[in-house]
Amino acid sequence: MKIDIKLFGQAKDYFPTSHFQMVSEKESLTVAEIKMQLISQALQPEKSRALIEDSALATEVRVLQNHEQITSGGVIFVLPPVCGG
Amino acid sequence: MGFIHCEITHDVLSPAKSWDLLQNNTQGAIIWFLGNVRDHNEGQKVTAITYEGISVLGENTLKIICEECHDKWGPDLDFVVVHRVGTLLVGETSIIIGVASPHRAAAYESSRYIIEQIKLRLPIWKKEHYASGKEAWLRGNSLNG
Repeated sequence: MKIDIKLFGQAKDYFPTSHFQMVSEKESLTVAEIKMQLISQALQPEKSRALIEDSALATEVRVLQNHEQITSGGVIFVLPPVCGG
Repeated sequence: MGFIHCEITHDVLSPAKSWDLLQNNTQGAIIWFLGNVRDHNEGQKVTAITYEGISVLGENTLKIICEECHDKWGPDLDFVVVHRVGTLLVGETSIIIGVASPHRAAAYESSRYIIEQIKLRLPIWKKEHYASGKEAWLRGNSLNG
């Protein structure tokens, strides 16, 4: 499966680009599994771990829960801790 | 049900445009909150803040927060909530919240609730730019479910 990943905020500092494709041999991944793969793909995996673990994943319209399964298609947003206003 | 207008925009915010959206003859109390970029934070001189956000998810989140206000303080409240993204200089307005209500208590309480929930839930990130030339992402609240 392939998932388009789009990073926001501080999460962008840990990857070469803010928008890339994640590839997996599985047919679906949970939110938690996507985060683990993100950490392994980061420029500095151990430094990025705390931020990625604290980040939420979302579609364009809603924030996803950790147990949810993601299949191919669409864009997954990586949302670090937020601070609007 | 009251009127809800929520927007994430790159445009310079216009209090006059927001004002026009909220005018009607049924509401006796209107509260406005404007958030501006200030020139200091935690001992550093700030020159600008870059706001990054997601339009659809952000606007959905703002609408949900306003609907929560309808549940808490009554369905007849009207709301205008506009958040700017992009790089804003000191003194520029990053957010406008307008609440119109038949009575002042609900307007005050809703306005406060909206800005506090925005701090906790709105997918917006801030990078501060300092006079020293350094810059830093600000810490935030995790949306991790």
